[in-house]
Parts: sequence; C-alpha cells; structure tokens
Amino acid sequence: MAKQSQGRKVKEAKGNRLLVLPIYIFTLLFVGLPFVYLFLLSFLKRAEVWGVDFTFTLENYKRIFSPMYLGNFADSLKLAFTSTICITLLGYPYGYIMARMNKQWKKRMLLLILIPFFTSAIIRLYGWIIVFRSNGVLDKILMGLGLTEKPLKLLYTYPAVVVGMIYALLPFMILAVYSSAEKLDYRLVEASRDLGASSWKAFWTVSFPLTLPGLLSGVVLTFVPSMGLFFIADLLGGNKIVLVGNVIQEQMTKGRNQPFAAALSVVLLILTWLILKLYRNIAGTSELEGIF
Amino acid sequence: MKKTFGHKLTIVYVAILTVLTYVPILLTVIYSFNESKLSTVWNGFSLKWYRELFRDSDLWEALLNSLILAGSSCLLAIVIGTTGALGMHGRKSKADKAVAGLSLMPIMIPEIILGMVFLAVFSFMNLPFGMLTLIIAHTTFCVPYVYSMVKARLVGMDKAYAEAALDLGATPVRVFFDITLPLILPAILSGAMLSFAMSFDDVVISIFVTGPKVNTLPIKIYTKVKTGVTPEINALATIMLVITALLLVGAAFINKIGVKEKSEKGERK
Amino acid sequence: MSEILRLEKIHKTFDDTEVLKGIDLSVAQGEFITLLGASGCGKTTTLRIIAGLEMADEGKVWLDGRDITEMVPNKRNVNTVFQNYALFPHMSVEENIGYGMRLRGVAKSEIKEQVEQMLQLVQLEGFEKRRPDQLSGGQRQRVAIARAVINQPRVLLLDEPLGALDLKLRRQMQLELKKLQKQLGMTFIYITHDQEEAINMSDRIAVMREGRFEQIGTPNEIYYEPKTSYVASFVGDANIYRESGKAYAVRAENVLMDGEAVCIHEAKVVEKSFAGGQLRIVFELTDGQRITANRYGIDADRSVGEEIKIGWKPEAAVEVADEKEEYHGETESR
Repeated sequence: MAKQSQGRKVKEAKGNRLLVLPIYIFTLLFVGLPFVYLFLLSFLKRAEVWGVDFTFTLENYKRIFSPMYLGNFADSLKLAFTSTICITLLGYPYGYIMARMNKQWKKRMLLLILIPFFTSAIIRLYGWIIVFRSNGVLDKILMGLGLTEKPLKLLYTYPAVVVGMIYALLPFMILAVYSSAEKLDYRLVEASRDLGASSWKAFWTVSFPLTLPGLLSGVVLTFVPSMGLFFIADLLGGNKIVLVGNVIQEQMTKGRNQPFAAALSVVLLILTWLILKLYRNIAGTSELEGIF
Repeated sequence: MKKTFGHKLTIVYVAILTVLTYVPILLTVIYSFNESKLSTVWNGFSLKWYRELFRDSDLWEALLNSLILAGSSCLLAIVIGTTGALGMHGRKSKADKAVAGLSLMPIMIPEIILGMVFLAVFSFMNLPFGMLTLIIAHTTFCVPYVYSMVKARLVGMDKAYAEAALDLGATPVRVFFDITLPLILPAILSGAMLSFAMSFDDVVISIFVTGPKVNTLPIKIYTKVKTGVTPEINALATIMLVITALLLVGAAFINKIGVKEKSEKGERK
Repeated sequence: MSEILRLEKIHKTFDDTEVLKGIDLSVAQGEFITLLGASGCGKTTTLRIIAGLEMADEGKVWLDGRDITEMVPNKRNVNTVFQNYALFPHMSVEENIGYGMRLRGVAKSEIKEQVEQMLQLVQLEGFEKRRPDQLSGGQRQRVAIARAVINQPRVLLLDEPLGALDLKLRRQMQLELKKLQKQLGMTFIYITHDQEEAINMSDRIAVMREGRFEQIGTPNEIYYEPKTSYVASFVGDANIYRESGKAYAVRAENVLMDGEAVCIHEAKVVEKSFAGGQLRIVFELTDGQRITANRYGIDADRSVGEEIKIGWKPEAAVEVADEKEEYHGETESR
C-alpha cells in the first residue's frame, strides 16, 4: 500500500535482526551443508582402501535395487508397520483415557510416562533382555506356572524386536494422543450424547475425529524412527533381523562404503519425507503434536 | 460421576500397561542388588555391583564425558535456539521459515541418518573425532527442542505485556530484560532440560561421531550390553534412572511457574 | 478549558483496509471523553496511535502543543489501561504498580510510599505481595488502573477496561472510575461499545463508525439531538421514521398510541415482548415502515394483529441525516 510505504512504523528493538545470526550460521553450516554432502556422496564411488573416490556413479542406487537390499527395506517397512499398528492400538486408548483423568492424576501419569521416556533406550531394552533371555524371568514364570516345559528362547526372535520397538516408541504415541485429547472440549461429546448418540457413537463421531491429528502425529513419530533404530534389532534380534538402519551402520563401519550408506540414507530420507508429506496432507498441518 | 463397568475397565487397562512399562525397569533395579553374577538366579541382597561400579575408572570417565557433552550442547542449544526463536518471532520471512524448517530436521528424521551424515562429513573435513565432533552433532538435535519450546511460548504470549511495559516508559531493551526474558525463561529451561536428557542418553549418533579415545556413558553401556549381561550395568542403569527421575521432577517444578501464568491467561480469555 | 491533546486527519491502513479515514479530535484538559462504537470501528486503533503503539500513516498527534506523532511510546507522557489489563504475571501487585517509577529511576523508598498511596486510592491495601493470578477480575482491574495512574500521565487511555467484568461489578466500577477521574483531575480517553456506560461516565462522547467520527458531543446532545440515523439507533433505542425524503429519529419511549391527538399513523401490531418491566411493541405502518414503542405498565397492552393509530409529539421527532445502514445489531458479545 502506498500509504504504508510512508514508513512510519513503531520501532522494533534494534539488533532484533542480528539475533537470527547464530541459528542461521549454525543450521546452514552443520545441518544444511552436511545434507548436501550426503546427497553428493551417494553418487560417488568408494575408494579401494579407505575413503571416497570422487567419480560420479549410479552404482550405489542400482545396488539398493538388488533383491538383498530391497529385502532389507521391505523388512524395515514391515517391522515399522507392525510396530506402529501395535503402538497405535495400545497407545491411543491410553493417551485418550489419560486426558480424561482429573488434574492430579494427569500429572502423576505424565510423570510415569516421562520417566521411562527420558531414560536411555538402551537401559530400558536391557531390562527386556533380562525378561526374554533363555531361562530368564519370562521363562521362569511360564515354566513355574506349568505353561511351558522348556525355555522358549524368546531373545533374538522377531517378536522380541517388535516388543522392543513398541516399548521404545510407545511414549511418543501416548504423548501425542494425550496432548490432542487434552485440548478436546469434552462439552462437544456431551452435546452429542445430548443429541442422542450412544457413548460409542459419540466417540466415533466426535472424539475420534477431533483427536485424529494427535493419532496421526503419533504414527509419524513412531513410524519414522522405527525405520532407523538399528540397535533394537541388534540387541533383541541378534543378527537375524537386518534392517536398513543396520545396513547403514554396517556399511559405514565394517563395510567402509560411505557412498553406499549415503545412498541408503537418501532413500530412507525420501521415505521419511513422503510420510511427513502424507501427514501434512491428511492432518492439514506440519506441526507434530506431542513432545512439544 | 458414576463409575460404570466400562470406566473401571479403562482404569484396569491403563494400570496394566503402566505396570508392564515398569517391569523391565524394576527388574534392572532389583537385579542391581543381586549378589549373583547371573541374572537368572537370586542369591540375596548385595551392594557389591555398586562398589564395583565406583571402582571402574573407565565408567567415571565416560560419565564425565557425557556430562561435558550434554552440558555444552545444551548451553549452545540455549543460545542458538533462544536467539533464533526471538529473532524470527513475528516476521514472515521466507528465509527464516526455510532455516527454521532445516533446523528442525535433525529430530524429524531417523537418528541413524544424522549419525551417518556426520561421520561422512567429519571424515571428509578431516576433523579429529572426539569431543568436538560429538558436541557439534549433539547440538544439532538439541537446538530444535529449545527453539520449538521458546517459539511456542512466544506465540502464546500476550503481546500486551510488552506493550504495557513500553507504555509505562520502558525502552525496548528494558522490555526484553524485564518482561520477555522472565516470561520465556520457563520455556528455555524446559527446552534445555529436554535437550540435556536427549544428549545424555544418545547412543545412535554418538557411536558414529565419537573418537577412539572418547567414550560416553551410553556408548559404554551399549558395548557392555552387547558383549553380555553384567550386573554392573544393572547398577549403572539404576543410577541413571534415579538421575532422570530427579531431573524430571525438577523440570515439572519449573514448569509449574509457567503453568501458573498460563492458567491466569486462560481465565482472562 | 485548554486543549491537551489533538488528533489531526489521522489515517491508518492495515492490510488494504482503511481503519481510520482521517479523524480529527480535540481533547480538553481534565475531560472525560469516550470513543463509542461497535467493534471494528477503529476506536482501539485510535487509542493505540495516541499511546504510540501504532503509527498513523498520515496525520498528526499533538500533546500539550508538541508534535508527538513519531515519538516512541516509552517517551510519551500518556499511559494505558489495557483491555485485558496486561498485568505482568511474573511480578507482584507492588512490582506491577511501581514498574513505571522504577523505570524512571525513582528511589525505592519513594516508590514504596507512592505504591502504598495508590493501593489506598484503589482500595487494595494489603495486596502488595499478591500475584495477578491470585486476584479477582475486579482487583486486577484496579491494579491496572493504579499502575497507569501512578505515573501521573497527561492523558490516561482506557481500552474497554470494564469489558471483562460482570454487569453488577461494571456498574460499580463505572461510578468509582468517574469519581477517581474527578478526584485526580486527569484527562481520560475511554473506549467502550456500551452506550449506557458512555452516557453514564463521559463529559463528551465521540460516536465512531467505520473509521470516522459520526458525531461528537455531550451525552445530552448525542442522546437528544442525534445528527445521523446511525447515532440515533446506536445510542438509546430510536426509530428512524422516513417521510417525504426526510428522516426523523423518534425514541421508542416517545411513541404514543391511540387517543392522543398526535396519533395520525395507521398501524398494525406485529410483535410484542415484555422485558425488564418494559413492554415492547413493534408496529408496522401502512407503508411498511416499522416503529417500536416502549411502554411501562400493562395497561398499554395490545394484542398482535390489532389495528391502531400511533404517533408522537412534533418535538419528539428529531431530523437526522439519513443513512440506509442503521445500527441494528446487538452490542458486541463478550
């Protein structure tokens, strides 16, 4: 507008603009550039002995499409789907019920959720090793009850990895659902009851759609990391279950093939980006509920 | 309200799931007091693993490293995240939006990619792996926590406070120190607490960017767990659990101050 | 009385919407002037321009003969009581009230003394250490006033200060505010959308509409001699009666029925309701115009559909500038 361009404006604190410098510099230098490098790296060759050979190749991406690595991606996705579905089924009711509790209980429950959430995942998984290992706590209980005769050898099996995933990521789902269910105006549910809906119907027609953003955000927050949590497959799955995360880690360390690891990471990044985009389209926002 | 059957059922469900969450944690704690070296048998109460733990100088060093690492990344994150949120607040610049989005990326993607990227970049730059590389990598995923918390607080904060201070004669600088800073302080602190905890517990990224001589506590635990169960780890895990719980109670206490202000605002609306 | 504040042809545009369309206002020393208007009429923007929290695109603001148009808010000798009080949540009552003095570098003991006096003035002795969230709405309101008044501003700006209070408390605070203003001899510029509040408290009222002043005058002038149909229907409850190209404002209580000599208009009762001891009857004239009458007492009762003659004394009809858009809505909800 012509009138606005006259430039009379309330003066802001001087130097406000300079405040963004640290985040600009840091982010561009240590987040932006590394990812540019990652992308470039994925088109390079590995050097014979150590390091990277700076010649262009599509070999890395071709290699991903070999049955073995496609299999790893399929396994990772399968595990991520399985875990996410279990987590949703377990976590949604939990978060929803939590949000309906009174103020004091809410606080207590939140603390109960947050303590394991903030404790090292490794330490928590370690507890499961004690439970699952041969002749471990679970075997003892089952045999003591006479349900099984021999140790089940649950450690280093697929179910053990799923349990580990659920355990590590469930809090994300609970917190996401909780934060969205907390904002739900319960009078809306009462209104729908008043209009003749059964409690079940009221839930599906009012509560559920209104807490869907929390649920979706929980799905993103569990699905995305579950594709990369290599140490869970490592600790609870032995070396029987190989996920993309494990392949990347192996290629970076033992395999010393950085370009291939980079290509795998790029594909994983694209998958992540697709999921976030999908979320944005469904939920209509890019903000994730939950941890913040 | 009348407690219906369904109502009771939901309580039972929540109770069972909560208990299950704590089973492995409690087992770890219990076994840390087990006299036996084997986690499969119980030989009576003992503090010997704690004694052993305190004698393990490697672990002490790892603990110190972890504290230095978490402390420095957390401090850096406070500076970068807070100034960033303040500087970008109330502006609709495309560059700001892009940088803010990019800065959030480290916590939006699978951790392993971040670790992989830093390993590749640092080896390309020929940076010596060690504390420096650890701090840089950790700061990248600590900044988003502080930034988002402070930003959320700024967005939720009534503009009228700053205006009232201006109206009463405060210079913009005074407004910042008298009004804005005290009001965003709880957000800064909870963001800092969160990033400290995240850094202190991180394994995935640390494994990639640590040097041969620098061990952090989680790395130490990871390698020990991988090579086999040792009761010492039980003791260590118990100690870390206690620290985490204390930190959280502290954070909850700080948040109380913030919550109070929020409830006051809610009432006015 | 001498002039203390003058606005000259103030224009303000937000995102393509012209909020203020060149307003002029002169405020006298010690005056209680109210900007009255529906929400969105630009009254808050006007106030913010006086406070310096917003800059006018065009025009000038004069305070005590000085041009303060581009002066930063912290240098202006005016203070504001904000709509939702904006009490600093992290400061006690005492710290809130003393904040302005602290900024001016007044000695601590002096601040304490003045704060005490202020608390006495607004009847909040003993609340020094309380925090805003430990106060009731009415108490917060008093603290907000004390925080502004203590700085002895040349002009005190009040942005719907009673809007958040319930009706009973609002009436009480109206009286107290008026008393306080007289006691201090301070110039008040008061914003409200409540015409009753404006009439009760003000020396002068400026009725605002879509970024312009529709009429400025004493409450009596505004009420009895509205210049436009908008003012007539916004303030009080006036009918706009149109006849041969002219418009007249007729207050509902001045509409008479049957039997009186002036009743010359054929009408039909189309609606009636009873509220607050008042019977409200809506008539439709033969030409389709609707006229509302307010009557006290049941004797005036008429049934819907009844045909009747109505009218008003000639002096009860005030000629107003006609505008098709009268004020029909309720005052904004809170």
